[in-house]
Amino acid sequence: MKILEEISNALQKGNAKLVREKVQEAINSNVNPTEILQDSMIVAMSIVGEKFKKNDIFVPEVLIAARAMNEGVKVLRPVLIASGVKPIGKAMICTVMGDLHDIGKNLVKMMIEGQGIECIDIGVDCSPETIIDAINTHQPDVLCLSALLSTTMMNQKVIISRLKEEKLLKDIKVIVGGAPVTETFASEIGADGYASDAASAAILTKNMILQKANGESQC
Amino acid sequence: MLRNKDREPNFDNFKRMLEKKPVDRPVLFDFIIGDEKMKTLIGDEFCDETYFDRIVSIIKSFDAAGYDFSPILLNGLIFPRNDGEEFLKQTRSLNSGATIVDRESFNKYVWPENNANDFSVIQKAAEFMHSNAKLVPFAYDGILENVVGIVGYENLCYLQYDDPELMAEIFKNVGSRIYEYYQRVLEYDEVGAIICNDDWGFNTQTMLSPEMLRKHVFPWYKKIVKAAHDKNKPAILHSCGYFEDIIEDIIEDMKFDGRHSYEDKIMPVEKAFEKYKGRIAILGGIDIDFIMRESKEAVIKRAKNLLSLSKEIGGYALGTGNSIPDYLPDENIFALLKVGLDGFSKE
Repeated sequence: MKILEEISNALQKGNAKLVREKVQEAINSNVNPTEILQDSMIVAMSIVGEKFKKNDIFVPEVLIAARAMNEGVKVLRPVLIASGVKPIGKAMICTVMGDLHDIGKNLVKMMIEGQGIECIDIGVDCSPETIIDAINTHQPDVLCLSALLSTTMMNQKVIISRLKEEKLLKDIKVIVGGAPVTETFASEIGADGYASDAASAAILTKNMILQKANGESQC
Repeated sequence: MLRNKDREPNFDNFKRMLEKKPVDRPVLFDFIIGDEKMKTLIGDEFCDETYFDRIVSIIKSFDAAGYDFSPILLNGLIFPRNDGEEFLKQTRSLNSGATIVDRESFNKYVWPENNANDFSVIQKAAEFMHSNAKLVPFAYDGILENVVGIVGYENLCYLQYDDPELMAEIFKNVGSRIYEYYQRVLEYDEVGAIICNDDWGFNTQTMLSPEMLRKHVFPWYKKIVKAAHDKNKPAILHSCGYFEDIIEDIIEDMKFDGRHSYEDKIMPVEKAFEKYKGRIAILGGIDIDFIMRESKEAVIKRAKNLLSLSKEIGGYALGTGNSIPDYLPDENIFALLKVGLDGFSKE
């Protein structure tokens, strides 16, 4: 459908104004809101994520695309709600205690939202207690823990241990990431997944949510 | 003191290494040493009561550890940010401190001037330095770092599309001042080289596209490196993050003599040496995380292997991937330095 392609193209270019206009135009033309979201906007953000992963585009291009997506979603949301369409799942994200670096976290959040997943951002420098409280409040499917430093990455382990003690890991998958974090480290500390970049983190989150919905035990 | 008294500093050796020539004995390179590590190196002589005390402590620490130079940071060219001194902390958000957010705040911004710097500190500091060593100045963050600091990273990303002219003007204001800073420090005979410290990348890509870096950042460094070369002084780049898409700019366009900051996740230093040997000196490079987590024996083995790889070819200085923070185990980091001080293996 031409209008969906136009929305996708405008979104990939980060043209927020055009995305708003085209989404409204699609709504006015009675295009199914789920199609607008899934077949145009989420597809566009997936293309953005793939290009980002291949270094064809850079953080500024991702940010303006995510901003355009948000503008489109603002127009689309009332129609989605009226149609009973819900996000495919819920993720929660933060940087671990001692770490104030939020660029990576913010990027991952945008990419996750670009996959049609609700993402609760509980901020930076989060202690295990803050995270446990937030889990109890928001009941996410996936928890993403970001750490930039060699010193603070050890707090990912502390947090996972505390979640285990609190028996919260039964219903939640934990993904870790950040500059010094490796797949080996993720495995050693008992994380369910590791992502080397924001686009991979979003895809992993989506897969975990879909697997959970399908009743599979492991990612 | 870690070095033996007969292992004296020799800046000519350091310079020869930066010229990518073989050296008689291993050369050490690091950018920053943490306070606790400096206290271990120089004991009661460590003092940071004043800005000048700190400079002297750094000089003494680099001397005690066996380096042929000492980095020096002149107090003055600090670009004001809303987060005050927050930017000096180890962990902070690149979004914090945003001071210029639009044309109006740009027009109100008070730019720092180099005249606020007391450049004669270089001569006073040199009195505490070994006569065969030289000072290597660096700046309070680089051009991109300072722009990110005063604009905020995400704001800068949006500015690239929302107001490219303003973005260009901000880069020009920062770049011209940092260029002048290096021109001024290069006037001093006590200065043997310069370090341009500017982080350009994340783990997987550059912070802005290479195209944007080529437009707004690299031209200034090209001028800075030329200013150093005009004085027959080498220029070192300390830049963290992914760099493969811009390495040719670093070597061929900006013409840096040496590059520092390596992480195993991005490119292990051994691979960097293999790829770029003879074209640019590879400095330091043993991943901080490796030094922190591996055994002393593993650190020694890796350090010896690096010296062995580079002994005949030249163009390598032994050191860490980034700096010597206080959290590194003493026995590992000092074992690394000791490998360099012990000289090349006879094998």
